[in-house]
Amino acid sequence: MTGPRVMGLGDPVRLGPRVARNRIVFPAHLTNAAVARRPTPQHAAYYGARAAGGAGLVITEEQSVDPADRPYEKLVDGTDPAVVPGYRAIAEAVHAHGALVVAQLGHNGGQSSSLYSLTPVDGADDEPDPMFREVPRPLSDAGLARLVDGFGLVASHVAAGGLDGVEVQCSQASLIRQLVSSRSPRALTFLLSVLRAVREAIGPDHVLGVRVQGDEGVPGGLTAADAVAVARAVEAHVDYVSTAVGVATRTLPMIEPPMGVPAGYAAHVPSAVRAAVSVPVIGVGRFTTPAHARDTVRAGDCDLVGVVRGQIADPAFAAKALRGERVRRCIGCNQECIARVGLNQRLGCAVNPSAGREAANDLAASPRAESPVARVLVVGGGPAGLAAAVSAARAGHAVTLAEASDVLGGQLALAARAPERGELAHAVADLAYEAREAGVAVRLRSPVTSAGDADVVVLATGARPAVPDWDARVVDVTEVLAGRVAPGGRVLVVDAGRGHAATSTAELLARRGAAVTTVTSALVAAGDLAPTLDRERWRRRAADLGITELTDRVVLGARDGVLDLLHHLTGVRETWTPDWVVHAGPPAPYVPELVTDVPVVRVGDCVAPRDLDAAIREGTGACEQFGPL
Amino acid sequence: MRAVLGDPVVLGGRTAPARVLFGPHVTHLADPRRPRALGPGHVAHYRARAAGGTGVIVTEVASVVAGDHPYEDAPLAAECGPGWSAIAEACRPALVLAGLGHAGGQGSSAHTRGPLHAPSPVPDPASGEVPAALDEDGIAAVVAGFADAAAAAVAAGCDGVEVAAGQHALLRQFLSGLTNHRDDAYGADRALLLVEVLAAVRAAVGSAVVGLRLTVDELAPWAGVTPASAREVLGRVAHLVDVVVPVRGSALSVGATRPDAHTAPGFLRGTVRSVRVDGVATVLAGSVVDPALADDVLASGDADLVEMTRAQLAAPDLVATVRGGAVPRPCVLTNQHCRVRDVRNPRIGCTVAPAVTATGPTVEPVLVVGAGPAGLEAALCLARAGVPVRLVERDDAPGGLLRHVAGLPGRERFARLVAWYADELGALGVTVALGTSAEVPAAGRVVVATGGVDRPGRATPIAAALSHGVPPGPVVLDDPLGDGAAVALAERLAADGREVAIVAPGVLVGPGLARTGDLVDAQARLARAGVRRVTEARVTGRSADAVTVADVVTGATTTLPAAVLVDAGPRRAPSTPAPRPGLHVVGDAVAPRTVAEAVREGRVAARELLA
Repeated sequence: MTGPRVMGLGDPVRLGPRVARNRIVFPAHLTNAAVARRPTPQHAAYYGARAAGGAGLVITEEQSVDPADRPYEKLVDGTDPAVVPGYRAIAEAVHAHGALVVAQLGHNGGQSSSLYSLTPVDGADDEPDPMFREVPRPLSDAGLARLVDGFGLVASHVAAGGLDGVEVQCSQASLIRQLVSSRSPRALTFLLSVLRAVREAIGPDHVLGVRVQGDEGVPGGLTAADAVAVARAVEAHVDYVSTAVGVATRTLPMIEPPMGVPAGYAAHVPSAVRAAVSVPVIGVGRFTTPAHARDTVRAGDCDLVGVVRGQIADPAFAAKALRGERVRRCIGCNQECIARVGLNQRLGCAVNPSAGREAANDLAASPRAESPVARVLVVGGGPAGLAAAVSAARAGHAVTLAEASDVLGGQLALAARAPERGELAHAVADLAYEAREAGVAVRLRSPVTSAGDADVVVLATGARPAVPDWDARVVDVTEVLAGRVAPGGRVLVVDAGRGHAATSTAELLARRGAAVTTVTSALVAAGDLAPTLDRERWRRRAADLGITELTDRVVLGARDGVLDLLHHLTGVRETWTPDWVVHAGPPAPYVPELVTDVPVVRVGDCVAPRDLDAAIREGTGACEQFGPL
Repeated sequence: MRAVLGDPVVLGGRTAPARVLFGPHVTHLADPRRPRALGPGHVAHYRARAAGGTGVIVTEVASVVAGDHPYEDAPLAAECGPGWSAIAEACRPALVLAGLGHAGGQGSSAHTRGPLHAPSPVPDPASGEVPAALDEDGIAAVVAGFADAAAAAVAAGCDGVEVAAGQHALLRQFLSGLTNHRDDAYGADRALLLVEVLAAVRAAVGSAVVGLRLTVDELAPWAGVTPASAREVLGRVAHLVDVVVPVRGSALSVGATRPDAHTAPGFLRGTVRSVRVDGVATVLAGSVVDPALADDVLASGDADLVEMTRAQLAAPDLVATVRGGAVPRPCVLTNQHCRVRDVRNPRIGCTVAPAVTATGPTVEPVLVVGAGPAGLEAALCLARAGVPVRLVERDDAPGGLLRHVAGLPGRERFARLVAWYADELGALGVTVALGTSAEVPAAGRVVVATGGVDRPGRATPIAAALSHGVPPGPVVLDDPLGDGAAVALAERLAADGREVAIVAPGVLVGPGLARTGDLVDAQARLARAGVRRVTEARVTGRSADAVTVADVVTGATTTLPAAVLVDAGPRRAPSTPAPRPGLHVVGDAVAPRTVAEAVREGRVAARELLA
């Protein structure tokens, strides 16, 4: 330790040979923006946008050091010299806005598959990874030496591309972590060889960082103490230490926790490391607001704070944080940044439709001087209508938003009433705030029957429940969430749609004392919660609340309150006699009669009932559909 | 008997050189920089089948409107012109039909980021996504899209087109009461859109070949397309089409369209017979993988052509091989590498036929140790190149673990593969020295294909359970990997009347079967057989008559009766000789995996030895 450290988020910080202008980092994360295993203009635009938004340090997604290491299709192969122009573009995009950018280098080891490589997976040992379930070929010493060369080669490409340095990943998805975790005597030797090879490739005038693994969340796995031990062992060779928790292929919800997990849940790792080493330490852990980021640095948990999803949601997070302004918050829904990426699709963001499409720049809500100011009537104050109002007002139009009910938010506001889903309301609040700031005239309790004096109408009237015609006491989930009915006793929640509607309502009712059973025709209960990493926490809570989950069953109908269920795998019929049936199914688009001869643009669920991201994206893009007015 | 599958056949005035069709399928062979075009990878893929003698090639289905983007590198007709030209040029004299389609509600909104479009707002069971109902303008755009794409394909040099109204098709969704709930003319007459599309396509292509891939049984008689309803539709469109490929399956039964070996080859034969209409050449599709069955179908007149897509993935030269009187490499119907409609975009491949070329000059003799699939493939490639091969097998029969796996339900075709290897080797003068152990010599050319070994533990290793049977009493299968072997063993044990449970760490047992299309069917078979599926669980304890398992999330424990605990977990590579030049270790001896890796590495070793 070298005396008291500066604790302000906006204070510059020295990282070896270079200085970051502030303490806000955009850490490494998968984007699926690579094409043909090379970085693309989208990478440059994506990182450049966060630099423009004020970040101090940008760390690229992992660049692999071995062509055969390919657990997912769009992993950049850093060994190919053809990556250098892409690196150069990233460096220029980030440097243009005064931030530093380093490239993360890694090898996934046994956390991989032969799907693309068609060669055996090279692992620390022959234990199959729990997600990829493929027996690896244990790497020989010669194999490790080859990978050391790979790290050096990719580091030389990074330096040639003009980036500020390299971060060596020893954390979530890493051969090095696997070696450390299996207590291999080769682990530190290999890591030190890698660091020496990288340093030799980039020289003393580039930054060299290392990302170490704290808590793996696995019985007998690595802990913060192990992170400290590794950090101490490599301290003399590196300019900073970043930290991580969770194993990407085993305990992923620890890495990218969903809403409901508090900010700073992982702070014990950087704080332990920071107490043990004298180089700057980066901490991460769901810091989704400027206050979270400021507080963790002020508390001394870390020297720099990593904010991934917060800066995906609002690229200007850093600048706004330093100016004390409000940001558009990440709500931890994980739909676009985690679930989509897990499906081999480009990263996106439910609350920021431009995220992942920065190079296309097709949703820019900039004022267009050439287009005349129009009177825009937005009908419906759910997320689609709010987003449409914000973007139309920012484009310079005179916007009125009419909402039939007495609150904004539509179904999103209802969904936010469920346990653990409260952060959904942040999206409503942030859009409503932006609408007010942009000068939108918001009218509540205002059903619309005509376009009035509007030049264009945006219909964002959402969807209405479609409740099955069963002879039983059946209510829609939205009725329950709205508080219009309060089912008790034995409740059967029928999960016939997708997403959280059924599970959220089941939990709400169970907490109120109902005896809740859920039933789905799917093979897996609450299966839709898995891609967003909500399912594990849900299962624990459901178990605590005594919620019973039935799968593989279709409700065929009901008579006198007795439901007829078919177990479709076996053809076995069952009856069920609950006090209440709560139904969660796909709603029907709602398009009201509207007397108008001006252009009408439809957005969101009134086109087809879908997720939050579709609503906000279409609302934000509504202006593009206005056409000549 | 002379094979008739190699005879020419006339379709719409054009002569196909054989009565065998290579059907449309997802390939992921596109250049990622031009993901919606047909590129050099496609050309090579189809050229190999044309060179092997196939009669008709239908190219990967191209979307006819840009708003349909069902998977990342799904071809888009507007970008396919040059690719169609190159394929048509490369494949003569085979007839090349451009596959044209629209996936409708079975598409993906991931790439367009706009709504899906379908006849009615009925969510697809796979995605759960509610589509928007196509309006009149949208329908007109679809009709025009088919016509424009068909004209472009023929202008590019294709012999014609095949219109997709089978699985993953908007046109089928319009035909079906499962998905078409419209109250307009297209709902009153659910075939109206198909008729309009085919009329427009016919007008656009003139005398070129118009093919139709049509679902004739959605396996959902309460609302779906049935053979009777399909027969009526075919009658209405017969004057517009030259060739029809009847297929089966709806969005509720995607796996039934191209099923694995749990479904008998040629399963559509009776249905096809019942839907045939005069004047339209009819193709039997559906796991037609054996030339003998194909010949029987053609000779009987049940169909005019046979679709042998997977058979020609396994043996690109199938038609030429059969014409030459030989037996082509058999398709084993595992669907492990050819069923690639998968968001990860894996390139199409074949379990038994890796995309590795192993030819070269004859070299000095090679010793192959182990006659499992890796050793057999290495020996065959070397022997075909004229290399003297000594193949030794410790066991008393060739095949390695495959011999025992072939005794499991749905895996019987592996026996055919082993027999084919033995026959091919025998024809080349290579005999397998059975019951022979060989020391690996310190010098010379050697392929070590000795397979994997069991991990030490108290449970019965699955390999032992497969080869020696399972002692009496209730059985618990501990299946942390889920590659399908434990599922198949459980089925066999349950069929023998045994009490069986499978313990798996994931949400379903046998997750590896997702790749083969058997995942859902496997759950149903297990449920009907009374096999207990204990998911999200791991084995934590064992006594003489029970096994304790714990939920991986909540920790809650359950006790299962068990006289036998079978360890279906990972096997281990044996210790092998130190690396040296000329020594090649392959297959499970490197890391125990599946038959595909064994065959591939056997061939790679041969390639390196021949280099």
